This record gives sequence, C-alpha cells and structure tokens, in this order.
Amino acid sequence: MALKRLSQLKPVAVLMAFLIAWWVLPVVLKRWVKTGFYEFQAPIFYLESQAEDLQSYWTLRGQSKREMIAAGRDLARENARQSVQLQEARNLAREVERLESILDLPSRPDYHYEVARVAQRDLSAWWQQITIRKGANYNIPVGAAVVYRGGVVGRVREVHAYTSTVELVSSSGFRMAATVLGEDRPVTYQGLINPPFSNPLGEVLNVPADIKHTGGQPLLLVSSPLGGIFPAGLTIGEIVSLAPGSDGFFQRGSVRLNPDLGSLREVAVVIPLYEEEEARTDGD
Amino acid sequence: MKVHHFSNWNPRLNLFFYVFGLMILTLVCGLAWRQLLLQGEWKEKEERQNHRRIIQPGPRGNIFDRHGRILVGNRPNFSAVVYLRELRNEFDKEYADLLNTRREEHYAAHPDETFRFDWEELIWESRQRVLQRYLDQINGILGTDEKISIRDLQRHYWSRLLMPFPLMSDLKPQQYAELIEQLPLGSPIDIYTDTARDYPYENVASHTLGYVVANPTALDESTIPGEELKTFHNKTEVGKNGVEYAFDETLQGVSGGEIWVVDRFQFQYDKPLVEIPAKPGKDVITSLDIDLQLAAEEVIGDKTGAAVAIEIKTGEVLVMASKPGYNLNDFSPFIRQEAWDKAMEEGALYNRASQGLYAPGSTFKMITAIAAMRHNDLDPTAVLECGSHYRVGNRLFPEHSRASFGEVDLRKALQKSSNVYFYQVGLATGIDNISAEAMRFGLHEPTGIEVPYEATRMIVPTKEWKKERDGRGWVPGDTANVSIGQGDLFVTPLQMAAYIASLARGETRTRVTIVHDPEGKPVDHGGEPIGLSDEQYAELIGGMEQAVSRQGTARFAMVDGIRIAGKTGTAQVKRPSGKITLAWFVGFAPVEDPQIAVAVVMEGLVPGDHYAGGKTAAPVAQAIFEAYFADRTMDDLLSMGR
Amino acid sequence: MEINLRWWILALCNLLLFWLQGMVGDATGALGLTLSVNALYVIMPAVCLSQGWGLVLMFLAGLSVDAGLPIGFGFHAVMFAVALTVLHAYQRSLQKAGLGQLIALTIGLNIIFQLVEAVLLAGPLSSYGEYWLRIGSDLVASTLATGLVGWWFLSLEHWLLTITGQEMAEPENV
Repeated sequence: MALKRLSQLKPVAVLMAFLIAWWVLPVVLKRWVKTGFYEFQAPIFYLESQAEDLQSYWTLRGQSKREMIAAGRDLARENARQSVQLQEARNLAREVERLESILDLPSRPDYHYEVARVAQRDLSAWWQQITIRKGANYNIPVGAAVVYRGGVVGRVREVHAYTSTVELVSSSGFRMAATVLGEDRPVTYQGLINPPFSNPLGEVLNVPADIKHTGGQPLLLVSSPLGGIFPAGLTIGEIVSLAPGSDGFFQRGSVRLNPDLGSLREVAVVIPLYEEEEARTDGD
Repeated sequence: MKVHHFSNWNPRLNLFFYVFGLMILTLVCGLAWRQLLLQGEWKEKEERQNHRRIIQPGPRGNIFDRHGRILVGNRPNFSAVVYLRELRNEFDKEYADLLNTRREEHYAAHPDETFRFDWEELIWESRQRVLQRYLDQINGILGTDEKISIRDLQRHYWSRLLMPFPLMSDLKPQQYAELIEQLPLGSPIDIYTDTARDYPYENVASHTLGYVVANPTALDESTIPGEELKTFHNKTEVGKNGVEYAFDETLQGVSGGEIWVVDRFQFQYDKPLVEIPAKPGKDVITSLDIDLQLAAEEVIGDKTGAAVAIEIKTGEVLVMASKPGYNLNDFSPFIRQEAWDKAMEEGALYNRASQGLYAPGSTFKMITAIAAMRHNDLDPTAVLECGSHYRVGNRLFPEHSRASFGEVDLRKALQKSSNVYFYQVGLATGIDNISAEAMRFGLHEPTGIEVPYEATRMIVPTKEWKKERDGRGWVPGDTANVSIGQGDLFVTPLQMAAYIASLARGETRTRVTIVHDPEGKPVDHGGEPIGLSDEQYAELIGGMEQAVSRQGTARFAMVDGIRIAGKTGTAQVKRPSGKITLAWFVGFAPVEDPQIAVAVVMEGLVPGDHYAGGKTAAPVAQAIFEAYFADRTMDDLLSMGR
Repeated sequence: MEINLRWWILALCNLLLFWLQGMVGDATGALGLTLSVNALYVIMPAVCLSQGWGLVLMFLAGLSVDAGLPIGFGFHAVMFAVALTVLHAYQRSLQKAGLGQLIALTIGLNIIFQLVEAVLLAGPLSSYGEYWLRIGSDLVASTLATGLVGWWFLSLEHWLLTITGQEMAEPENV
C-alpha cells in the first residue's frame, strides 16, 4: 500500500530531478547552452528573411518592362539628387572641419553606419526586439545605437555570429538620454509598452518645469549626444502629455513613438569609429 | 488507446475541466480585483501596513534683476543613488564571504588561536564593499575615482534609511546622460533628481544675492496630510545671506509630499498612496542692473573694494559690489570646503558695500560745507587764502600732495579738494554743526536696506562721544580732522551713496532698497529739504561738477556728453600692518536731472599700495556711469533736461 | 528508455510550431498583438510520451523559446515542464479524449500560461493600464488563435502519428 502511494509521487520526483539538474547547472554551461540554442535557431529566421527577400525579388520580376523602366527612371533621378546632396554634405563636412581647426574645437564623435536587414521581430508586452542579419561577422558592438530614416530604433543587446538582437526604443526598460527639440538640457527617455492597435508608448522623465506642452505645436523628443551612444538630434517620438512631478521642478510625460518601429525592414547600426578601430585591433 | 479514438469525447475528463475552469476563474477574478478595486485594496493595505510620509520641498523662486534677467535660478541636481533595501541580499552574501575570508586568513596565519571578530565592523565593511562595487561601475563609466565613506553610510542608515543613498552627487549633464545610457539595464543604481540653486553670473553680486544652505527642519508640512505618520524630509534650502536670506519666506516653495506603504523592514512597498506635487516659491525682482554690476566688478578686478549705485528718485540700488567675492556656484548644492577656505582666507565673505566701515576722506567735505553754509559761517563765493599748511593750536595740518592752492572759494576747494580751505570752514562752524549735519544725512545709522547684516557701528563723532570713549575733551584739531572726513569718522559705501543721492535731490535722506518697483510709484524718502539757498546749492554742485572736469581731481570719472558732479577722497587708515590708503569717489549724474548716484571705495591692502580717489576709485564710477548711459538714447537724455 | 519515432515526430512538430509562431509574431507585432500558442508545445507530448521523454522535449522547446529573449534562461522550460507533469498525471484519460476536448484543454492551459507570464514578467509595468489592456487583447487573440491553430496542429500531429504507424499511447511508461 505504502509502496503504491510512493509510486504515485514518482512523476513529481522526476520533475524535481529535472528542475534540480537545471538549477545546479553551472552558469557558464547555461550560457553556453543558451548560445547554442540561439545559434541553432538563428538560421531558421535568417533563411526565412532571405526567403522573404527572394519573394519580393520574384514579385518584382513579375512586373512589366514598362513599370521597370519607369522605376529605373525614378531611381536615376533619385540617384542624381542624392549625388548633389552628397556633394553638399561633403562640402559642409569640410567647412565644419575647417571651422573646428580655426576655433580649436575638439573634434566631434564620428560614426560609421552599418546597414542591416531585419530578420525577425518579437514585439510582446514585455519586450520589443528585432533580430538583424549582421552580427560579429560585421564587428557589430554590443550597446551600439541602431537608427532608421525615422529616427532611433534602439540599441544592440546581443551580438551573435551572424545576427544581432536589437532592443527597440519602445521596449519596457529601454533607457536613453534625450532632449526636447530646441533644448540642450538632457532628460531621460524610457520605453514603456505597445498597446494594441496603437502607437508604441514611452515615457520621458526629468523634464524641466519650464518646458511647456502646448496644444498647437507638438514637442519632439530627440536623441542627445551627451550619453555617448547616440548621435544628436535623431527623433525618438512626440511628447503627448506632461505632468508635474511631486518635486514641483521636473515633469514626466508620455511619448508617442513612430508606428513604423513595428514593421522595420532595414536599419543602420551606428558604430563609433574609435570602437571600430578597437575591434579591428582586437581582431589583429 | 488506439488512434481511431481521437474523435471521441471522454466523460472522465469533465471533472478535470471543471477544476481547470475554476483555476482560470480564480486567476481572472484576482486580476480584476487588483485592477478594478484598487481603492478597496488600499484601504486593506492601510490596515495591515505601516505608512511613511515623505516631505519634498518646493523649488525656490527665482531672483531677477530690474530688467527681468535671471540672477538666481534653479538647476536640476542629479545624483546616482541606490536604495539600500534592494541590496539586502547582497549585503548578507558579502558579509558571509568576508567572514569566511577573514577566518581563513586568520587560521592560515595563526592556526592555534581562536578566530575572533567584531561583527559590527564586519557588517559595515561588507556594506561598504557592496556599495563601492556599484560606485566603481560609475567610476568606470565616468572616469572618476570616488570612494564610499563608512561614516556617511552609517549616518544614512541610522537617519534616512527610506531615502536613497547617494553614490555620487551633483552630476554634470554629460555625466547624467552617460549614466542613463551606459548603466546596465536592471542595475540597482538609479538617477535621483532634485534641484540646486544656480547662479548664471557666478561670482557677480555674490554678497548681495547671497547663498543657501541645507536645512532639514525648515520644511512646511502643513499642506501634506498624515501629521501623525512617521515623516522623512528631503533636504531643503534656506537663505543664508543676501537677498536669498532677506526674502527667504517669499522664495521658499510650497512643500509637496508622498505617503508610502512600507513593509516590516521599513522599506517602500508598492507605489505611493498619496502624491501631492510641490509648488515653486515666488520670484523676487531686485533693483540691481546686472550690466552695471558687471561693469563695476570688471573694473574693480582683483583689487579690494566696494561700489554702490543708487537710482536717485526711487532709492533703488542698481549696483552693490564688493570685492573680493566668491563663486556662488561653488556654494551650491553644498558649500565646497576648498571654496569656503579660500573665501575665508581672502576675506571674501565680508560685504564691504554694506558692512565695511571706512573713513570717508574728502568725500565728506560737502557735509562740512553744507553745515557751514546753513549756519551762515560760509559764503561759498568768499575767497580764503590756502597755503600748504594750516596751524591749529601748536599743530600744523597739511594740504594734500604738499600743494598750495592760494586764493580758494568753495568751487575751487571742491575741484582741487583743498584741505586747508575745509580746515578753516570746519573750525569756523564747529564740530557740533558738522556732526549734526552728518546725522541729518543719516551717516550715523544704518540705511535699513533689506540685505542682511548691514553695519550698525558707524561713527559720526561728537564732543559727547569723545568724552565717553576717551574721557577727554574735544580739541580744535579733532574738528579739523573731521572737516576733511578723517579722524574718528566711519561710514559704509552704501551710506555714502545714499547721502549723495539725497544731496542730488536737495534732500537729506534716501530710503534705499534692493527691491524693484516696476510701477515706479513715488517714494517718500523721509528726510527734509537740504536747507540751502539756490545760490549756495548751485555753488556746491558746481564745485563737484568742476571736480569731474579735466582740471578736477575726479577727471577719470568723466563720461563724454554727461554732466557728472563728483568728489574724490583719499583717506589714511591705521592698520596693524601700517598706514593704508582708502581711495573714494562719490558722485551723481546727470547734473541737470540727477538719475544715478555712485559711491566707490578701494581699499589698499598693504602700506605700499598707492591708491588715490581720482586714479583708483573714479574709473570704477566711470564704468558704472558709462554702462548706465550707454543704452539711453539721445531722446532720453534730452527729456531728462526738460 | 530508447528514443522512439513518436518523440521525433512531436519534436519536429514543435519546431514547426516555433517557426510559425515566430513568423506570425513578426506580422502581428506591428499591430500591438502577440499571438501566443505555447500550450500546443505541451499537449501532445503530455498525451503521447513518457514523462521522462516529455520533459526532455519540454526543456528543448522551452529553452528554444527562451534563447532569444531577455528573460531568465529556462523560464519557459520550467513552465512547460510543470504543465507537462500535471497533464501527464491524467495521461490515460487524455488518451481517450476527443479533439474538441484536447483543444479546450489547450485553450485553458494557454490562458494559464499567459496569465502566469503576465504576472511574473510585469515588473513596474503592472501599474500601467495600457499593460493590462495589452494583456487582455493578447489573451483574447491568443485564445482564438489557439482554437484555430490547435485544431490544425493537433490534427497534424495526430495524422503524422497515424501515417507513421505510431499509437498515441506509449507501450510502457518510464
């Protein structure tokens, strides 16, 4: 009888054995297992993303010659426009350099932009992240800023062999230094949540009391270069409300982010040039 | 079980589904209870938990100059902090590790001795080590090398456990931004914000504006409910000097506060139950004009001295400078020891403009003249013979600069600052009249300006005063000395500026104030008319105007296109190190419609300093006059003359 | 205990589900919705496998889910393992259950998984109304998805087991 009762506890004992075995597993080994699991699945969404690209390629192949010619003409115009802008940008950069040397200013941080395709998105209530198709193979550093044409995307959280995980600016716990456009005082931006069928939300803290939110002109929150990670002036979002805190000096408010964050296809990793140098030296 | 049974319904599983459904229902109800009936839950929490009240001071109001430029404001003060409650497990683990290490070290060195240890010391050391690890993270990001002090940690633990422990205070904006971005996510290090006084002009008008000091007991808690609760106060600031002190009540904000629920370890539990925002204090608009103040302080430079400028009609103080000064930002958010030591060593904490007592020298001569004219002892147009000395009893009183001015009337006496002329005038009218006249102009009492700690021990000597102090009688030599502003006469630069403003208006008193009245309401200065005939007054002011001419002693105060009446003074003062020189200038402008009165004193520090009113003090006044008239258009000047 | 074909079939089905879930999540993420059908990883292994092999499969599935996420590595593995053990106790009854019953069970288990995640992973988000709104909408959408996907996925697993000649019951329990 007692033996029969004991045998009924067997499933619990087996579960406990599994859990204990997992619990006592050294952290290094767990980390190794984690990397192994990740690198095992990485090709799945890598290939999936490639397949998606192939799909769009074949979709384009299906277009008529007339459409292709029109697109080619538009592209040629765009190229010409971009070439002029590039030349202007080069001239301006030279002018800035000249002024810096005259005024004996410290040189501004310079960045290298590594463009990467988005392989997968994982946008839950607790985390918002994307996987990009460049990793250690392109010297992507952990912590680097990631941007797109609409502004800030987030920061690289993990770098794997051929992919990197980017924590989005909308992710709960994401934190960066920011400024209200036209201001130079740094404030704190924090990711919050992506409510259903709505723009992702963040919050802004430590906004000086004299910055007022008026109904007409929206307050734009942009990245601050002071934190040393993000270039200056990249759009984070729009401050939709501000309320005074209990200290009476700072306000906190909510920030509406760009809904494009949920459907990004291509982003750029911002790599400070000195970091790239270091990575190369390490590589040597 | 065979595969083909897959489409069946097994009734034995029904009970399982009932239990399953009940579990889900319980979970959903639990969440609904938590979200929808929070009010009820709060009430319940209130019954079973303890509450703590946190008082948050309201930001102080701003201080502006008369044109609305901000002189004192608030800036965010960021600190990197940790909440010690979150580190309890780490403290315990560190304590155990440290104990083991010490035990092993002990037995390795002394295998036969019993291991003894001071557990209290070990507890503090382990806490310090944990905190130092976090501080080192910050040091790594910011490139600093800060250390945790066990004494600070103990003080915090015993008195402010609920409040965050500051690892690094007063972070610069860049440091704040770097920490925000570079501290690892989930780090217990938090960025704590409060405010600190900000002085955009740094060391300009430092004595007049004053500084604040932390005071945990000065918070007004009446607006925050829960008086019966245990209360913690965030640091507040109270004015310690200058305008910050004088208008502390106005500047103080209205406290806000929060009521927190704490667990049995006294640590915060959940979000605050009550949150009342603090409100900023009211602003103060001072009468200072920062352009004039900057101009005066720039010319004074590294020298020691003071300058005061007063708007003649209203008595509003436009400039109140005292040098050396101190950088007010070094006193905020806390007084840095090195800055304090430096200020003490230089005597920079002393406001020479309202606290410095100086012999006025020749700038007093107008009082002697007024006293004599009012008592018909002086005809201003009468000529007196002035040699290089004047004999009073057995003593020879010299002319200044060993000069001999010959035939001198009042105008020339003021232009050349003839001592011999005023010896004769003073002796003719007597000390009683001179002292009474000085007192009529208020030189024997404080001006009553709102800026605190104004000197009260100024001296206008009388026969009675000397008898009381020395037990000896008044002699004519004393009168001769007082006639030229020497002897036992001691006044402040602020008093001298007020006296010149009164003289410019033809009155005896000026009510000085540091507060600007934007409406410019008429002011009752409380004095009386000066009591001179128009001719007498014209001669007096004419003499002063001549002093600020190419031939006058105050030529370095001249400003093109502006008629200035002024008087220089150079007084000798005995100090332990020897005789030092005080250089004075007093004056007002424009003569035709007086607007601004100025008094400047420059203090020689060592006997070798060759200071003279004309060369050392007049340029400071000139800078003030220039700045004052710089932004006035020709129309303004013309309208003044009408 | 030897590896049987049944285990491999269920492991491959779980891999397929993992891939599909990633793809669907990719598409619905932009709408602010997460379709979670995690219970489907657990149901058939609980019905068909011995507890030991079931737990191995749960750890593999759970660790795969956790590998790319910013949460404690093993969070889902433990959750799946506990669920499998509980369900395994009713294995004999579950083996006799029809598809409808299994789908109902999957939906219930999925709701429990989501609520456990909502509470344990909330952190400071729990004080925001938008968070519970999101959880609520995720819950509704996932429940619908579990019903639809579950019908297909469980049938697929059942069909694969059938065509490979595998019975749903183990010859003996480990």
